[in-house]
Amino acid sequence: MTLADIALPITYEWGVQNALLFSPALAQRLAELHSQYGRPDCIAMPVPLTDGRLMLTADILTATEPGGWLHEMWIHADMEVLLPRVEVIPWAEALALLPAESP
Amino acid sequence: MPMNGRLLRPRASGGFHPEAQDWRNRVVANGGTASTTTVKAVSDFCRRIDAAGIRSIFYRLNLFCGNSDASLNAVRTPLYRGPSLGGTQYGGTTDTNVSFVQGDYSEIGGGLTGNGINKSLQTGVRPDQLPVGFEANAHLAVYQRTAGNSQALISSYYYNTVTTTDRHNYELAQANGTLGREIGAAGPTGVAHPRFLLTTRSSSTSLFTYINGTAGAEQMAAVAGVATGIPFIVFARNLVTGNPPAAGLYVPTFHTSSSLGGYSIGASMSPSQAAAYTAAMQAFQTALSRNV
Repeated sequence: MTLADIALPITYEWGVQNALLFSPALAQRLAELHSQYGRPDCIAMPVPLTDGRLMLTADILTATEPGGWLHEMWIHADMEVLLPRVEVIPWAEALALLPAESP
Repeated sequence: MPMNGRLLRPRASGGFHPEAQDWRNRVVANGGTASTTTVKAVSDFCRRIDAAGIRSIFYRLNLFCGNSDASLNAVRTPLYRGPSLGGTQYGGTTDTNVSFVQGDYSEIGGGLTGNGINKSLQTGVRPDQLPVGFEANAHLAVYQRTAGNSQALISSYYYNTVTTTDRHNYELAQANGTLGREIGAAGPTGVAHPRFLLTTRSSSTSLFTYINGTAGAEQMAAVAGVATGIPFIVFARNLVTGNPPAAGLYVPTFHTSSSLGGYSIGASMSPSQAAAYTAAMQAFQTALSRNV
């Protein structure tokens, strides 16, 4: 399942139960958009997974709504390109892909 | 003749402590809001701190309050950014949000909640930019509403992987505090949440960690700390490792899933000062129904 299959906007409760997985290349493009349109005092920090992809908790999507700190970045992204490239999986499955956090 | 409504309506700035009013003004300028009830609670906190004579101890303090907004502007606006309102200020004008969203915050009966994965606040406060001698004259404090996982609450962590004397850690993680070196002091055991954690170093041979105003055993191991350039992060640990650790390269790790009601960074506190700060913090958290 990808973001193209999800009815947006999502609820926070749904967001904390799911995860967004994407490539480093897509992350780089989103970071460029955020640096261009976003605010420097609010940033997203994707987590590297053991399979080389990056992950964010899906509740980050609530920040893309009007007034949210990701909204300007979001509306300047090409949704036809972005949405199909973000996989959505249940949080329990994402946990299995997380490396052990190094204290 | 009916009373003029303007005479009956309370003035928004009437009677608040100047620093509470200043905080509210900054919250609004940052795009957030704060209710009159909240500003009064903040004002009462400021008055208690002033009455205890401990205002100048604080280099930064954030009570995580104000109305919830989509960019968490109010929550990220610290009340104190220096030892006085008009004096030297430390760190960012706001705490930088790393991955928090609106749903992570609830002002009344809640706080700001981490996820143990990637959510944190970067303060921009660096030990080496604080007053000289911070490594032996310091405190860190966090109001921890829920236990969460057993990971870092507030931290600046410089760790030489080989040389043990080149490890300069400033951190509160659950019930343990370290200031200046990796040798820490534990707070008393068995204290239920919510709890107010305060670790304070008054010299190279004296470190205490208080929980809800009660101190654990004194840590008297002599330390030779260094105030590093690793900024403080809340909800995680800003970690740099190596032999020696590379300057300027730190990574947030060891994230907590606790719900927090505020934090502070500052100079050391005596037992009576710690007691006064604890009382002021507990009264504030009670006003926001977070002391349960």
